[in-house]
Amino acid sequence: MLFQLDDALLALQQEAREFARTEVAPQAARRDREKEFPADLMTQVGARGWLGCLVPRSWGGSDIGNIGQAVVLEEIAAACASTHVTMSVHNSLMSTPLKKYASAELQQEFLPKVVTGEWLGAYLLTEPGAGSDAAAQKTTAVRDGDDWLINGEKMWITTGDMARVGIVFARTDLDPAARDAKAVSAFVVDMQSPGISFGKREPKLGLRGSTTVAISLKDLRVPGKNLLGELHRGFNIAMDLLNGGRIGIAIQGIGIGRAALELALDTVGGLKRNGKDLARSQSVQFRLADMATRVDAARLLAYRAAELRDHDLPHIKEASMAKLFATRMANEVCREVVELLGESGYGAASAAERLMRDCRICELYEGTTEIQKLVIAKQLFADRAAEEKA
Amino acid sequence: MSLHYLFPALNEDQRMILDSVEVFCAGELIGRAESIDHAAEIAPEVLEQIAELGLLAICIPEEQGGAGFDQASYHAALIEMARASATCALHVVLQCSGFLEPIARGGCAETSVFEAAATGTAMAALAAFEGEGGFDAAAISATLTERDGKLVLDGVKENVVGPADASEFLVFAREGAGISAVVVPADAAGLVLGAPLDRLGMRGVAARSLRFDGLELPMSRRVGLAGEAAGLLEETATRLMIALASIGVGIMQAARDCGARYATERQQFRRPIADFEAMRERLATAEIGQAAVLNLVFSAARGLDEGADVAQLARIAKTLAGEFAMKAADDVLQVYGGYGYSQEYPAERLYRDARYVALALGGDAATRCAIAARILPE
Ligand SMILES: Cc1cc2nc3c(=O)[nH]c(=O)nc-3n(C[C@H](O)[C@H](O)[C@H](O)COP(=O)(O)OP(=O)(O)OC[C@H]3O[C@@H](n4cnc5c(N)ncnc54)[C@H](O)[C@@H]3O)c2cc1C
Repeated sequence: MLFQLDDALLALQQEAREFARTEVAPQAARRDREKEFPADLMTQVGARGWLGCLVPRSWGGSDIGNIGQAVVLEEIAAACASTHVTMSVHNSLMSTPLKKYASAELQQEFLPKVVTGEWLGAYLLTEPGAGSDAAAQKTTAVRDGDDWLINGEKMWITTGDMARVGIVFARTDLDPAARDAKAVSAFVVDMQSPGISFGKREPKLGLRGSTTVAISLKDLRVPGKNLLGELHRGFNIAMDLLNGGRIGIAIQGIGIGRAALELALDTVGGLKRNGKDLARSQSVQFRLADMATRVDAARLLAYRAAELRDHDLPHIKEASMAKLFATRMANEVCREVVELLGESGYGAASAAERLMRDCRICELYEGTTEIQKLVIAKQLFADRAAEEKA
Repeated sequence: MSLHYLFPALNEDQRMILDSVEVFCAGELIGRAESIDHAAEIAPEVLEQIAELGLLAICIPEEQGGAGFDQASYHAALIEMARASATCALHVVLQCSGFLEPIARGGCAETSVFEAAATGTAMAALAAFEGEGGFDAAAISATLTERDGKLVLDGVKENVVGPADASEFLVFAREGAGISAVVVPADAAGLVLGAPLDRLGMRGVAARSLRFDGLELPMSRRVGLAGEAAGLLEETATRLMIALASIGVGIMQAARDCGARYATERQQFRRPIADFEAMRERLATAEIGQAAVLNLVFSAARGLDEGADVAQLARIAKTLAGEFAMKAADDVLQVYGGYGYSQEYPAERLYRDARYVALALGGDAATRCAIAARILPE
């Protein structure tokens, strides 16, 4: 077990870093200020196969596995969190499920355009009343001949109004006695269908280049063949996808935290406080040492989860641990860097304040920090019970 | 009345002014906090109301032109205001603790400067610190010299925080072997004003740079005695720290109140999220923090009124406020879940504003080292 990227992954990292440096980073401040969606960049990353990291090359993907995806997306996150989340949601919650769960017919219809980024993806799980309790779906899908008719309200949908394809979760077992988690199905939906309307773009603390909208579904007609996976088993799909997605958000935190650390390293050299060069202050050096250690520790946790997922080994706890630790540490690092850089770090002319704003989302979506802890705690007790039995 | 229990001995006047502050903040200002933040400007009519309440010179002795209330009244008013809008409270602090108090204490022959700022007809800012806002007198390199019966100012001040349209600056500069203070009008020849810069939070005030190129001032614009303002600078820093701690208290109380309300209203898993222990622990941060810092603030305020040396207490209050306000705002944002990230809810503004408390006046590490310096043997 050598904790080091192999040559192929190093080359991939080099390619992603160069792309992020030349194409993504220079636009990040403007994207934040103008709330500008990274449509142009999606075409570029699509051409490199980075919108289908787990999709075979024959479909136009890059097939670089969960570790490869983590390596690429960390570079993007370090440059621009909005671009990262657009890619991360598209990969983990659209390309991957199409490859993993969709019928050959659905794959044929959607994958080629999804992989290039011509059709962007959205994931419609959350509702006004179903946030952390995601299984408590009020949206319903009812049979109508060969079709399904879907009605309900979705909230906080990333890329919602820019997406051409959506995975919509809805209750299909309407028996009130049915357990929430066994009553939900997943559908692949053409987002230009009649019956779909979008709320205004949510004004947010950060991540302003990514769009987030409420979506209302009214008598949305979906062909029967668009059911993803098995009937009433959609919640399992939702959770499996989130296990992958959580590694993606851990990586988002790691990228943002790393960017904050690098900014601090770049900046402290030129700053003086109380007549003293900041870089030579032990207080500053030790804070930076702590940050770097935490960023590295988080990356190791995330790589472990990614590798387990690549090998189809159990990784629910490990993915949650990676997200819990990485996103919390990243927020701490961003807050510390703003503080460290003082009045300049607090000013909009420095990237520090944007990193701090962008980063805060990581502890909220794809399962809040509390939900990660619930998952981990549950698994701890389950592991213990299994050990006792053995 | 939330404030009164702290002041058993409040007199009729104090009671009246605190009541009117409370009515203004809870009734009016709180509803404007969001637009002040978005517009990055405190609307003129709000500034007028703040001035009319008499807050700008509230704790300055009557014989020096102020309202003559004690420090505890001032801080009670600040906390109340910060609860509604932290940036408005910071505005008051910059006018009162950053400008009017030092001028009243040091004395300035040009009395119109004080009067204009005290009544709110002129906005002012403090340009004391250099580098990254550290407030070590040794770090000041701007210079003041007396030449032909005039004062000449040279140097640069970065990150001067104050109203975007400040018309007077209280500048501390090196004069010979000592430190001096002068009041510089914004339209003085030889003053280059940097553009006001947008910031993460506390957006009702701006940061900008000032450059003085052989700027000439009449002698009447001197504050205190030539070369003897180092003590005034230190005293000003102490008072600003206590005031920042008060702002931290206000932010924590605001976080506590909105967080508790939201946790009661929001349901998940068929129960209010306030039922979850994890949410209760997060809400407790704000309550613990505000209570701890509140008591430090009032000890320090009483000490100031009694003429005690409260510099160490001020540093401790400010450090604790910086740490706890950030933690409380973070915890409460988390209580809001995804809604915490939306600008249509108050948590994200508290999160941005809270960050300022720790970094202002030289930052956490510097303040901690200064605290340690006081407990080490000489
Ligand atoms: C910018 C953004 C983008 C998003 N993108 C998408 C998307 O593309 N698709 C999608 O489907 N959703 C998306 N979401 C929704 C996101 O996943 C939810 O916001 C998140 O799951 C939390 O749900 P909530 O906001 O309803 O918070 P709530 O569930 O109401 O949580 C409020 C608080 O209660 C806590 N809590 C809840 N239950 C418990 C418990 N049992 N024990 C202890 N504490 C608990 C939470 O941790 C949180 O602190 C997005 C959200 C945002 C803000």
